[in-house]
Amino acid sequence: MAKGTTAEIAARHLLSEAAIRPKVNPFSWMVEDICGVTMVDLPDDPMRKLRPAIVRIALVSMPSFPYQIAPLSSLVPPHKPPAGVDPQTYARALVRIKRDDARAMLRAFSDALDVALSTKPHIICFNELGLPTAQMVPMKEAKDLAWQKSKEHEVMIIAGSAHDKRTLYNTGYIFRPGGPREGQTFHKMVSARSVGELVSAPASRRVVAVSYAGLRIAVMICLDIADYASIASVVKVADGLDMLLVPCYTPKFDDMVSIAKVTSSALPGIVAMVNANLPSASAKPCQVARFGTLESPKKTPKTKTKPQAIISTLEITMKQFQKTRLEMKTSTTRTEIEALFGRRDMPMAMK
Amino acid sequence: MPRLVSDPLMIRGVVPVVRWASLFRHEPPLSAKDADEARAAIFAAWPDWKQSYKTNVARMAHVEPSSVEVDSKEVVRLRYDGKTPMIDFPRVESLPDAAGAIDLRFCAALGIDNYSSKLWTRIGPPYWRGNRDAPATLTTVLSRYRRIAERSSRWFYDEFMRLTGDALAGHKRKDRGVLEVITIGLKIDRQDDPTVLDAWLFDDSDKRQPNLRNENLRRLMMRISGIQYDIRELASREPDAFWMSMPTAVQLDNGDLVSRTALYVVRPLGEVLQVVGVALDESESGAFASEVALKVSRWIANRI
Repeated sequence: MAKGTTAEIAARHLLSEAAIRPKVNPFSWMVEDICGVTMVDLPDDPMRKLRPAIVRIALVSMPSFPYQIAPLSSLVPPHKPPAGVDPQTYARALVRIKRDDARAMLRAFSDALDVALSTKPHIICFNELGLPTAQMVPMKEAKDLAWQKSKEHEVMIIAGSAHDKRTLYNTGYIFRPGGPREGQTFHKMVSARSVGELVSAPASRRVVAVSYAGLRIAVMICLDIADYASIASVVKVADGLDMLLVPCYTPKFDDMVSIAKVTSSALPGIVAMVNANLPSASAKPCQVARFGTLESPKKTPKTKTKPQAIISTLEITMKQFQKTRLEMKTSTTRTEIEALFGRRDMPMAMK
Repeated sequence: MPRLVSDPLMIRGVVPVVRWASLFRHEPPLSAKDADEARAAIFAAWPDWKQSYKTNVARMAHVEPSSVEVDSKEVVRLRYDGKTPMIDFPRVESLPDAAGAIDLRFCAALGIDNYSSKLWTRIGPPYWRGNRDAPATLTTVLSRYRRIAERSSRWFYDEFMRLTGDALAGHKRKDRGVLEVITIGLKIDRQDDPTVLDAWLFDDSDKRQPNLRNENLRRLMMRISGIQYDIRELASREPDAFWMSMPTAVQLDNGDLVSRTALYVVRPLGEVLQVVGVALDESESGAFASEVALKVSRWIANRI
């Protein structure tokens, strides 16, 4: 039988719990010096009051369209290549879609958006390179459409990403009610070398996040989810994040599932990845990991336009979600996660 | 060589947040069914009880009932913190520009199995005040908040027992105690280098101890905890007391979501477990103090 007053016994018990020092991956310490997380909405944004009991998310897998790889350079004219510098270091390779295909892509985007909206979602997320481009620039019509539908239907639309020859970035766009007409952007940090993508990235590495429908959501593009500093920077502030949405375009989609599972456990929360509809590859259109476990989103009727997009829907019952999240956060058996990312959210006793 | 502390931080305001909980265990322990019956009793009583709710809270706070209002958008609601059923009551907030402004709320956490139940009272400045008081007023504002929290908590305890009397009739209450969590947010300008914040609160030893070379930190911790001796003697004077860091994510005004760490001291004082902490708060809203106060309270509550 423990001796002392109730408060003394409680203090000793708390000390024993807070004194635990798990073995931690040394790479986790300086993450904030490499990458940060930035919310694009302010704490007093009126849409933060939107708190549906069940949040519906439509994941849109756009069909693939024929494309060419355009060789570009990050070298700023009129400068000539510096002597001794490997030309490969300033070589860039971006996707170019032909004019006729760009129009077809816009029709498919519009059709997919309508079908996604018919599922009455709070959030829609398109895949990587799912935003139509013309002349290697995101199409104004597509962005205007996403902004208009976002406003009309009070839905947040992550309109996929696009290669942009002006910045040499792979840029994603977020349109949300009350947000700017031109959208808010996020950029891919890591080029997919194996498929020949060579994009530039902003010098300051940031993961963009937004609060919507009661969920605090970080977004990153495809391979960025495999980048330790990016994921660890999200986990570091996981007190303030519930979910990670990842637009992808990759035939190796299923290889990323294990990362999604670990990350969803580390948040703890949900990681939803939405891929392009790639009939020639065996990859699924989307993968969703909730609290460390994979689940299958519902499929909705396909779009009418050929080639077709696939729309999958995900439902989150917020009461249950918050309950499980709290249970996992207060659990004392998270050693695997702590070893990977450090003890980011737990107190430490000093005696 | 130890880090030199030049105290470069300019404290522009303070955000005191006091959370006070009456703790007790049930004998025999509550089951999920018992907790649900208690919840049902509270929900059934609320339509009548709410008539006197505002007046009683105003009385506890020594303010005019006409100077406060019950948040009309909030209702009594049930949620779960892990497996613990929590009943939240609507916030009572001072009207804009009212003197002695408060933001006060109650919550009942029904501990099932071997966990203790906690009847929480939380008080802080209302959001419309810019969530901060002048540093010079800290002692006055904090002692007022602590008095209101204690008084309100005793009233809430009596009312809760009355309302759930039938539902929990077969359970005695034992191991009664009090948990007082005081968090002082110190409003500072945004720091581009977060190590400046850490240097103010923590030393740079491998063990990351509290930075008790910082005279301002020592004085502040003594002022808010009521410790009369030199706080550097804490370990020898109070063997069950200990220091604790608590990290929490907070959104800064530029949108950055960052992890910041508050420093707490945990000490048993008779039947009271006092948890007193300081948080350097760069956010314009003063949200960090509130967030970290909630987190530390929740962490403790889930363990006792």
